[in-house]
Amino acid sequence: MESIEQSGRTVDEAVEAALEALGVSRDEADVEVLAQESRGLLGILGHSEARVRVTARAGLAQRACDILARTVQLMGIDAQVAIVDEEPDAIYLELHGSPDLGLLIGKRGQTLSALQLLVAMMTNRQQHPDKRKRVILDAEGYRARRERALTATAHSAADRAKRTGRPVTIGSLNPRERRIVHIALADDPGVTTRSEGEDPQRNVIISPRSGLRHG
Amino acid sequence: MNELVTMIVKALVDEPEQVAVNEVAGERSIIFEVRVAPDDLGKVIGKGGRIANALRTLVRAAGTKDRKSIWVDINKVGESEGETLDE
Repeated sequence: MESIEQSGRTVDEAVEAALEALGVSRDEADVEVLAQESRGLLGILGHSEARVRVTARAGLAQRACDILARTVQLMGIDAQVAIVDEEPDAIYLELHGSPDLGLLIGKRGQTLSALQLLVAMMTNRQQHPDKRKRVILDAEGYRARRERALTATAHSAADRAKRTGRPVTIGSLNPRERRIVHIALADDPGVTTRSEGEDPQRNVIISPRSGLRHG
Repeated sequence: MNELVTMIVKALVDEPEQVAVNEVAGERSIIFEVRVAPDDLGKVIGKGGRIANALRTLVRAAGTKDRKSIWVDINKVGESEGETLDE
């Protein structure tokens, strides 16, 4: 974390100058007032400048990464943590390099999802709602692989729906998985998709579009 | 593991100094009794218990090697109400 001390005629001016030097906005920094300005007698005698220390807060992605590293460490797992990407509304983190990652992924990615949710909550807690970011966590490419597999499943289910003229169900998907299926088939004019059932075991129903029967 | 629970809960609440975690270890089970300020309860439990359940999932995963069943109680509310601990 970068920190500088700055003097100025007033506290505000000193803070302004420090923020300028750090290249961050007011809400991305912590300000500590070291000395208030003193106007002195008649504005001349005993006049002293204000002095502040301004510290740029670590970016949200770095914060998320630090929180993840600490959590995994306290779980007794020795793994590397990296920031893969940062978008305006999302942070992508990846865990790798540990034989225990299977433990962190859990059955059908349950543990990974739990870890992702907790890291997101801890990261965003003090953020203004507009500045919160989603945290997307992967371990050794697990999600990426699962996403590819699910996309393939969606396409083959769509083919079957079109061939048979009957709806095909893909069972018990979490919201993120359902979204992958919906997106995978959004451009397929031959089928429509919708979600059905109760969380956390909602299904996606892939129906052939009426009047369109292939094969 | 106590440290894991404490760190996560403190990072979720507005009043971390009010967080207390008590570990009750039985022969085959460990129960973490978490206490937070009443105003922070929602932040630790979450909508429909989402956050509390995520915490339980994570702590269980961390405890897999110990071969003990693990439960996390939060302000003594929720599913384990009425459970007795024979020590």
